[in-house]
Amino acid sequence: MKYWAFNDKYLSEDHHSLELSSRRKVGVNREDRVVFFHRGHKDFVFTSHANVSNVMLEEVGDPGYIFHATISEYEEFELERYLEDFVYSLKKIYRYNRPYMHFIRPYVRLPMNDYYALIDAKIYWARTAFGLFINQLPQDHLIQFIRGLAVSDPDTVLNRTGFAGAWNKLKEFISDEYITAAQVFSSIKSQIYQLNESLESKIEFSQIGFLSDAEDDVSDLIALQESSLTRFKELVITEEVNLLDDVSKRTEYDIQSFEWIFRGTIWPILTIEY
Amino acid sequence: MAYSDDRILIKHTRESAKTLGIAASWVKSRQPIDLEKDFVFELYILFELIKDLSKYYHIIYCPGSDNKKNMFPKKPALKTGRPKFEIYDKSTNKLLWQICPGIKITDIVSKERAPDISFQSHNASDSPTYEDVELIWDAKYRKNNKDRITQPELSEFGRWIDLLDIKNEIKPNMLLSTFKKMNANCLITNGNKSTEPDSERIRLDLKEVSSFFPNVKFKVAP
Repeated sequence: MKYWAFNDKYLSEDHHSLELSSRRKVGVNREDRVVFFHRGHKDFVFTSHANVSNVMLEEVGDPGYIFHATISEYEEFELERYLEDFVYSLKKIYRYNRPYMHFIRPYVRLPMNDYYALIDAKIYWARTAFGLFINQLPQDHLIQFIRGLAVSDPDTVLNRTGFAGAWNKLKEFISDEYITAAQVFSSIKSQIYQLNESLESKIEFSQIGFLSDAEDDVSDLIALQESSLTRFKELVITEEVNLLDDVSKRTEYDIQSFEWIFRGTIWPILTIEY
Repeated sequence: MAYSDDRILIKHTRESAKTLGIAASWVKSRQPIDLEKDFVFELYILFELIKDLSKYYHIIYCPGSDNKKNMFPKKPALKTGRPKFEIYDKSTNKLLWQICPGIKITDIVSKERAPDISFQSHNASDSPTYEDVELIWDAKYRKNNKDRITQPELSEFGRWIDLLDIKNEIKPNMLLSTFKKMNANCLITNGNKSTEPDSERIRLDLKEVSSFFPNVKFKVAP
């Protein structure tokens, strides 16, 4: 049995058949499973699924073949699945920035686990959280993170232990580096506001920054950094919620098969897109 | 967990991650933020000090001039044009000290040392030497706040105290409140102190200040 993702434009209006012309033989067979996708203006969604009943492949001159299949048990998802939610849950995807590029063709073969992840709307939380954050680290910090782990947890770097461990380490790193930095920067802001109440010559918080003596150095303003770090901190930690902890709780629901299938794979780090 | 709930959390996570991407590097220079290498922790210490001094003294912030105006050093820097604080006696209005962050000072072997914070005498020029220095503080930021000040760091600071000719000199007559115990040459960290005994700290004429961080109670040894 094989699993496929089909562009829903090849689905008949009555949802009983599939038809498309192709230069090559279409390898879809009876009893295969299909999930349908729709490329909208803004969103790429998976809308429905069905089983393949009968298959007919007609050889024609141009373009080559006409594929026709009857489908059964067509069912629309109660909630459309957004591809952007599954970027780090599908083994097929390695273009994490432009996942829709994996679905350019009229139809695409899916690994079984990918198919069921979409059918059941199962997210691989550990790899998703890990992937989303690691791809936002500046290069230097990424190297720092890897270097630190290589010493303390080489198995995590090699992904021998699954992504739950990797996410925990990254979560720690994010707290230690950025949440801490946010605290120091916003302390400086309050210090200055406090000082200005007694200082004769006020310190302009918006003007202070760092600059070296080097001729070609670029100055950096503290206020700008304080603002973006505080915004980050406030998104992650509110009075009721700690986002990073919430995500960690969800990783407990990651199904076993995710850890099994992705074990030993390289980290989902963005490669350079040409 | 329902997919609709998942979707909300993923969106929130994606947004937080994007915000991190922006916050993790300095806006203009695009250098990654690094509390260890950047002067940020040092600046926090400086402003805590000024806050304390402002209880007893009249303080003027001198922002500096030209392209260095309001620009604190990232690395050891020359004094000219750099921001500093002038400490005045409240009643006599006499200038008592200059507090300078990250400034190069020429030592007794004619080499430059740049303690993170130097307490310079009222008439210290723009090219300060060891004769102008009365006290120094230096900061050591630890990524892991359980980590200690190392032996080499302690030794180096001791060497600077020697080279700037302030070892066992009479300390400036500064009135301090929260930092009363820090009227000394201090090695300041958010982490832990070194494993050396107090007798060695006294011998080197320095103090170690540990757990120095916002909302944390710091400790001074000895």
